[in-house]
Amino acid sequence: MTALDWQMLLPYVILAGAAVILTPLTAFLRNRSLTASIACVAFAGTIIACIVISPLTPRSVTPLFTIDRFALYFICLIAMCSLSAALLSWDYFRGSEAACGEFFIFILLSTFGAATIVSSVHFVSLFLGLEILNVSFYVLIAWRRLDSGGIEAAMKYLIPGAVGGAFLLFGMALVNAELGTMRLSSIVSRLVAPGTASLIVTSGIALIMVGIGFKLALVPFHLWTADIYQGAPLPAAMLVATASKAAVFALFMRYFYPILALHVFASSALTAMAVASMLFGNLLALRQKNLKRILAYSSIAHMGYFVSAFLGGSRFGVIAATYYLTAYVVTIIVAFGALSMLSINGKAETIDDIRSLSVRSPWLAGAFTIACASLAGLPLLAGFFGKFYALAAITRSGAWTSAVTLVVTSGIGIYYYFRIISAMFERSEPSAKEAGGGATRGATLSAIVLSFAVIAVIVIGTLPAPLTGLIALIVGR
Amino acid sequence: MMLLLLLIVPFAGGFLALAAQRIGKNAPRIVSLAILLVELTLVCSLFFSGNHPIRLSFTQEWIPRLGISFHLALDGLSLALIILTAGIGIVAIASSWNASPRHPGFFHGNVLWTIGGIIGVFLAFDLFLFYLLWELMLIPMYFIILLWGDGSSRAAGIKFIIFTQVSGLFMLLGILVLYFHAGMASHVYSFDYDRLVMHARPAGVLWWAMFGFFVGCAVKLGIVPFHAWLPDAYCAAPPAGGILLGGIMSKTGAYALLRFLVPLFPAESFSFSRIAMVLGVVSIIYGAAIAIAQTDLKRLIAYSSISHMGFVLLAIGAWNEPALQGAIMQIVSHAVIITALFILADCLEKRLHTTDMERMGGLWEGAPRMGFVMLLFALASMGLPGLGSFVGEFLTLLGSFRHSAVITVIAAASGILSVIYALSMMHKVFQGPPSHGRAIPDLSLREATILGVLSVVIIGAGLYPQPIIAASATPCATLQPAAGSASTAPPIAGARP
Repeated sequence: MTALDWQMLLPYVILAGAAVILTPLTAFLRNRSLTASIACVAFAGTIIACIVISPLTPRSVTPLFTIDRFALYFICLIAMCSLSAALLSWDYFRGSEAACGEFFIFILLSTFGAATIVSSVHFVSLFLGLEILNVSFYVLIAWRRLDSGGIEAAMKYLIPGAVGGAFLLFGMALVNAELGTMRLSSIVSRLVAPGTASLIVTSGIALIMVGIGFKLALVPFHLWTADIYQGAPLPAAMLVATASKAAVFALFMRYFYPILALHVFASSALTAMAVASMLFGNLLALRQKNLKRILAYSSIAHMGYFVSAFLGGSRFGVIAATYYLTAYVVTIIVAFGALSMLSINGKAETIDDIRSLSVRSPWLAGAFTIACASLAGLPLLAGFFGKFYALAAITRSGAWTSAVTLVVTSGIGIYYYFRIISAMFERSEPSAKEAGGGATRGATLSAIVLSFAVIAVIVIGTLPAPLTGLIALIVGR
Repeated sequence: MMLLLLLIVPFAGGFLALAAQRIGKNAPRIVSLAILLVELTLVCSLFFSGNHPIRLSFTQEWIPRLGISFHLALDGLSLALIILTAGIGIVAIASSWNASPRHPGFFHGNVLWTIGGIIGVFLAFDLFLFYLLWELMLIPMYFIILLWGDGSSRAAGIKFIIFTQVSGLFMLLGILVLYFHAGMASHVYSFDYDRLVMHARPAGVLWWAMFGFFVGCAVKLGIVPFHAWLPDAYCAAPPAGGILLGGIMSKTGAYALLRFLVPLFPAESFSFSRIAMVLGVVSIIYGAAIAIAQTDLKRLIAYSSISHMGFVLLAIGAWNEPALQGAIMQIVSHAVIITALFILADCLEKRLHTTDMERMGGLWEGAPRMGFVMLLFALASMGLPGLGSFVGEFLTLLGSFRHSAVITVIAAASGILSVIYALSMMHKVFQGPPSHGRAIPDLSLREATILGVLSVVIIGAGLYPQPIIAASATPCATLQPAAGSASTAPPIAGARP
């Protein structure tokens, strides 16, 4: 470990160091605002560190990590999600018994886990990162100790998480037994070489795909998603929706990209999973009344879009999927930010709770409309260009089944997104004033996060050129 | 720069109208009327600036990685349609002058944004920009239907947005297939119209691309298998929204067929032209036949619109000079007719609080002027010689006869259906025993002025159609060889001797 190596690990040092320092500090001082500010500074520091060290990339640090621009981009994205989650949780928990500083430590730890995943080049670091992420999520989801819904959600995350982890481990073991290495890059290069497709390796890859399928919530491994979104506290659900999926998807893109071209089995299985995700995600969302469940099913559908965009196996597809993922993450921050602001002063569970919201708080209604419209892929918003880019990548690879599925299922999606929008703009009835989720006071931090995210959704939707340029740069190759 | 201004004025104007609500209840409509007058002045100044044929263009890099540029261009066809759009927009705002919608600022903002999107579609020469604006105009329109429509507006709005969005995505799929197909052939990936038009090589997959594009256009036009959203949306929308939908938004579908579909997919659309003509005739007959059975005035107008748009598709399917000129005449005159009919329906609804024709009758007594205007536009709707729609239908039939006599004969014969629905509408509303106890007040000065202007236009277009034909003749001539050059045989050669 040279000094340069330590410098390359700066984002990790900041995240882990902050968590280590904050643990005793929070235990003894019990000062929530101090913990929160240090955590937020750590997230900001992580982003700055990523930018500072980016000229030195790529560099392998120990056999376990390779820090390159692709990893740094995703670390930045994840840190932004965590920062937003931290700021939202400040307002979200305020005044409740759950308002204590430890929440921020677990956000730090989960960010650390996610950041480990995106730069790992070894089964060991990958699995460690995944487990750090999972364990901190169990705590974050069950944060409201007295809320049975939260406990239930945490159990439902624990069991598929553990099962998915077991599948992943077994798959890794099989691949390692046959190929004799745990370095991802050498595994990939050996798989790409002809004549290695033995039964053991193929089943190992299949098991790894099941494990990743659980993490990404692709159909048929999606069953846990809706309950987690519904039961978890909103900031924690937001992290599950953004940071964890971005991290796993980054890893997935990096290593499955070369395999896809050669392994017909892997690519056809993934196509089937992606098509099924688009279909079932959108169909299951149709009948939901709970907003968070709708977002959960819509996230399953979106995973289907990302995976099919990337399945073309080309650089174009990777850029498209990364762009769409970024657009999606920003949009989800808007959606969860609006929901969490709404639930501070009232209830924002079902569509009925936000009926005639445009009368009570037009700005929040506007923000949530923008989130829904961006998820639906309406023009001048991030989701529009994302969907356009994804469809372009699919068209380029000539995957007509995926293309037509995307078009048709987007149409299904329009229905539930616009059901939410039309409910918000419904004419006010006298009783509507009494319903929950009115104008929010004292949620300055959430309001700031929300405004930044809304601006980002509009800016990267209207002027996507800088972001696509950046992504093309980080994807390289 | 001028073209950019044409696009910016309505969009910026929308925000201005939104902000004007703070000043007073009437401020937004005054602002939006002023904005549209400015827009109309700008286009007319281009028209009278002299140097014909007009060909302006504006290009700005946007997303160079994908070959997307902000490319606007204007020729006679776009110019004519933008003048039409601005004019109909003014009429739409003026016609609902007395209606006081809730949130007038947001209402007029949405009206202006819709108009901006439509004008953008007529200007866009980059296919990505075109698609973006094509989708963009739907959102304010959706809000107009949802927020200011009648009781069934939620269902109608959702139906409208799902139909148009899904068809839009199919259109995007078609555009993307063409983009990659042309890009792989020439190694220059670009969404630019001028570049893609050069790529005219028949290939199997391009037929499906063409079909996807056609679906997008057909839904906006309201061609028969794709029309299910149309009557609901037309009827649920507030009067101004109905005018925008029927008067100009449906015309973007016709424009996209004229400007993009045939020139970009010449060979494919040639092989599709017979199907398109058949769909056109089916729409003519179906729309007219269903219109006969309607008891609701607005639904009758909506179905008659399907029938008229069938003529446009028939003309585009035939694709020769008389037919194309007929299509453009039909576009202009139908925009005027449906606007006038929607205004009349709105006048009746305000006075009687219903659009059910069973509850009308004998209104001529109290409102002869209204009856006269209704008669004029009913006659225009059935294509009476001397009125604009006659020129359009006549030229269309003339052009399509060269292509297929059978289809033309059927289309011409179905004209009798339009006579039935137009006259029965006239009869049910203004003739017969008065079923509504008291006489209704006749047209007010404002209503009479608006309808008077529209009447002058429709009569003028019928007696002296030369300006419209002249304005569109050059583009017709330039569009045509684009189609003829690459197809195995020019469309006209398909005519039977």
